[in-house]
Amino acid sequence: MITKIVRTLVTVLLALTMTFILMKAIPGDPFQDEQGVPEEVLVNVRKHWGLEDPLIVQYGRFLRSALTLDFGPSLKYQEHTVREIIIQGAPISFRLGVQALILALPLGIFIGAFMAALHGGISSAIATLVSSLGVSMPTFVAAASLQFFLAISIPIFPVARWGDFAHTVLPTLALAIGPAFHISRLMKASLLDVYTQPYIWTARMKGLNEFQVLTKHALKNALLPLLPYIGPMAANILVGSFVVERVFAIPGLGQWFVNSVLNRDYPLIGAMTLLYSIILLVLHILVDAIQKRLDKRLTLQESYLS
Amino acid sequence: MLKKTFALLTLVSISCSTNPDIQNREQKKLRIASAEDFSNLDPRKGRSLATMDLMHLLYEGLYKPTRGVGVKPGVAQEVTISEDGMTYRFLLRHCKWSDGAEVSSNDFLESWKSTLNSQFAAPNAYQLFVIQNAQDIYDGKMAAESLGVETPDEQTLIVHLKEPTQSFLQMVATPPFFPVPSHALTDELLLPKGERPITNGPFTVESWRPQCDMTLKKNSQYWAISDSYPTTIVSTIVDENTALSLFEKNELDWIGSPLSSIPTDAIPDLRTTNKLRVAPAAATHFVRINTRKDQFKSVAVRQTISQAVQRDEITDHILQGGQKPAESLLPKEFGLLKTPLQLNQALPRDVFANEVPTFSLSFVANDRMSKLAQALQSQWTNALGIEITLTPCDSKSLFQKLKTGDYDLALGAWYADFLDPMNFLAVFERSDNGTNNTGWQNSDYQELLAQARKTRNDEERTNLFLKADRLLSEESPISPLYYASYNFLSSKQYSNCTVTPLGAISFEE
Amino acid sequence: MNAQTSIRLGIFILLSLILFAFVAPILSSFEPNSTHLVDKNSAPNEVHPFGTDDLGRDLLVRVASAVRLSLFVGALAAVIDLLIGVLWGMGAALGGFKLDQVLMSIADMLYSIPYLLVVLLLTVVVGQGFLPIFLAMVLVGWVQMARIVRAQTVAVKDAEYVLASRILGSKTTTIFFTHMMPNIIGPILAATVLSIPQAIFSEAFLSFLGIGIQPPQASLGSLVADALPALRYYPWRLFFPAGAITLLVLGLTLLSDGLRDLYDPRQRILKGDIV
Repeated sequence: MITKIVRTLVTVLLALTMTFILMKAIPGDPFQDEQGVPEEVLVNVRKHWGLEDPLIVQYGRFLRSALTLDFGPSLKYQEHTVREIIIQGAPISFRLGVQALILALPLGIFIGAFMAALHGGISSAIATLVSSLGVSMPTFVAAASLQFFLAISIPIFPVARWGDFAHTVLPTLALAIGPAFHISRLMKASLLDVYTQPYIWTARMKGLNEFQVLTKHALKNALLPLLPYIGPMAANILVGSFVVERVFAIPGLGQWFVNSVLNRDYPLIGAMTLLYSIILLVLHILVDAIQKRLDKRLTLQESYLS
Repeated sequence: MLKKTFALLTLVSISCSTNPDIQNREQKKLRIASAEDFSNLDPRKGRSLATMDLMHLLYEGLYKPTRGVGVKPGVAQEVTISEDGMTYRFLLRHCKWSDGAEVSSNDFLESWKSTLNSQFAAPNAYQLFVIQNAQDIYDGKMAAESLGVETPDEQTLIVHLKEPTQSFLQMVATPPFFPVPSHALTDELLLPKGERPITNGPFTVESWRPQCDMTLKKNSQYWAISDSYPTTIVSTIVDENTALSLFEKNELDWIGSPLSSIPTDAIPDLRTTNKLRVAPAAATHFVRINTRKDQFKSVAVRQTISQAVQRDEITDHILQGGQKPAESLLPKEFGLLKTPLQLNQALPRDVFANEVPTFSLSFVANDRMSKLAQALQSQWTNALGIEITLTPCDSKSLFQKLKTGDYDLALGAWYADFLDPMNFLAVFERSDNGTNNTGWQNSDYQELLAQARKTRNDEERTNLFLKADRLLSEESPISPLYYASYNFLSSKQYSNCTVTPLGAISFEE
Repeated sequence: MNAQTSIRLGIFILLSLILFAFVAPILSSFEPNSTHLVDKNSAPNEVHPFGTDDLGRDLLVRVASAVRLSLFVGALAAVIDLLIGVLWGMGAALGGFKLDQVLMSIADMLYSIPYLLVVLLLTVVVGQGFLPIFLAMVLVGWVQMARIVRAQTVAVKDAEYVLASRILGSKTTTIFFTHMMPNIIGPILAATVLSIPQAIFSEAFLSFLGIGIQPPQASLGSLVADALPALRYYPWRLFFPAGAITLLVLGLTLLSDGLRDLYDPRQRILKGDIV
């Protein structure tokens, strides 16, 4: 357990360092614009923000910010500190992401089981077509289409912005569609695999009906191979949220993050990277832990052979 | 007190949620979309176009812009200019800050002194260099007290300039010259944080949710306050299509210029239904030609490239928003020039006789610029047989490329800081001035501009500008494309409001 | 639908798409990049079966060109992802505890760096054009592939039949190719095939941001990204490229499902091929 934590911290440190290097390597000045700030003024502004200091000093400052979680004001939006920005945006993005995951997982599993049951018939061809549609839509297409059909043409839901639950419906759907269909396909494949296993026959012979077979035995084992996908999928939801937030004018973190890179807003980039890598790693550890618990096979073998 | 037939405005407390069924009781509010959030509340530090607009809503300078090309008295009720044009004596009217304190000449002095303090890191500092000793103070060669500004009493402000500057009144109407509440500054000369900003303009900031919305309330202490100023809610809506949809659902009252843009695909439809509003902008879009590179050192080559552009096609089919083709840098819309310039020579076709060159065209990657670049690519290939590779990049990368000269051709624009031909022509005065970026410099051109600065005769000044403009067109370090225009949509009750040439929202006539 | 039908159908769809992508431009008189502003945004008609885009370019030829590009790039990216992923993942799974730790830590770390940052750096360092986008597409998928390969290999490595084989004294290579590979190949192949759309999407995302395949080149992603704002005015501009993507994914899905079923020894048990 301790080693896991240490490993995580080292990874975060390395990620931050790589980010720092990348940030400094990318050309472009946070303060230059088309109206042209003269060089001497630009240098003074950069000095004020510590950007003319030797790189090693900047790196130290960067790490200290990460440790104390205080990155100072944003370079572009100087009226706000990075912490304020994240505290304001994170809950919104988080809520959106969680809602999308809560929708995508069961939906995907259900659709997958449904498609597995249909396997081999004409209806499976239709099902494949439908799921291809779902999978073949990049998130931003889903977002814009949903907005167009369910908010603009037929005004069922609000077009954009964030407020009550109704505002969250379309963005959640848009975020959840891709992952849901992805999960459904993996689920179907995995379920089909599982159904050929001996213990399924055993269960049937014991007298359980199909539904019990499914829920008591098949599902659990089918979920196992899915686990490596869940982590990256959750991360993709985090990234995909940028598009959805943009289309639906939601004041979450997604916007901030992409813009921070485009604006060369170094403190904000640093903070977002820290946040992002921590979330990813937490997800990874979680998935690993769940995998350990679910896969009794693995742990059993480990204890025998180690 | 102007009598208007506007509907009255409602003060409603706004949270980050939206309720489209809000009952408009008596007063209305102006809900406007902005493509990006404001970066600063301090007029000394704001740079982006959106932030500058906000400054005009929150503050007022000695003079203020009108809807046309002139300026009119703002905080200053009158000005006396000395014979030699180097001393301006402003008489300030009695007006107040939003917290009740009197606006005094010291507010201007403190604002300018802090901007010229190199430790303060104001990107706009260089705009104040017209004032006597300003640049020396910024460079640390002189003490702040030697700034050429006197405040004999609270209502009088005397400014000594470095040299006679015809456009000085235009300049004082821009945010870098705005006052700050000197009675409330922090130790670091910053505006106090956290509380409501103290402003002397038509609005104060009621609330601000980052990247969400900002609510501006009428400033009752503003000396020219009237009913034509609605409670304004600026919502940050990054996606222009979403903004358009919100407008059509009646959740927004104003989209497009100056704070956001209208999707290019929607413009034809909006024009035919007469919904699109167009206003001229003091801005020119052009192609920069990198004269630092060998292939562009010949004037003939540059002129050929410039002449091969079919500007009508661009304004009529790509932009479609009322933009006008530009044959030279200076926009003619503002009475700056009377006679349009024409380059009448036929295309010299043998310029590229030897090889088929390949040039790269760099630009900021967005919908409009991308279409423009593709159209230009087509036009150049068809007319001249040359190969053009398109190089889209993000804006910061592009600025870096311009600075280091790492480009062949690049799309660019100049949006005027203030309404004077000098502001346009000075962009290309020296090759190292940070705005030029083409590597072109010409002693005749510099001479013309220097004379224009010295002369106090308006007609002579205009002639010098005309000559400089023509010289620039002949030398072609840039290929002018079009004069920009502001495209926006507004709901009926705001059909009397418009956008000024410099890009500020104008509420009063 | 059995494995063979699935594969046949999938290949049929893919071949049709490829045929369309290569033949249509030859039959058409239009160039994918030649603009003709007067005809811009015209609906599908006899002259332009797919309509035209906002610069007056024939959409049929553009979609064909985009299918070629996206297929080629997507497939290439998927193959490279597979190669890297297999090497990395198997190395981690089979190479002992230390190697596993090192390799996966590096993968984790690289994965934790925000994708956009890496892409921007690539476009700047490598220069504009094709290569940075391609690298970005490869980068997006290899860690995931490595993780999947590793997970599959680990699951199989300690399976009963492997143990049995080892007890019986089979050589490592035999165990590897006869027992482990067939069980791993199915899911990995499926994942590879499915990563093609992933690559296309990541390119579309970059186009949406404005830093994708440089214009006037058309990729399916950039066509879709450009057509979105025009959805309500000129819907055909979205319909055709999106339809092409759907068909592409459908074909790939059928193909990958069929391949998986074909390779899956357990399916063969079901059918009675092996006992």
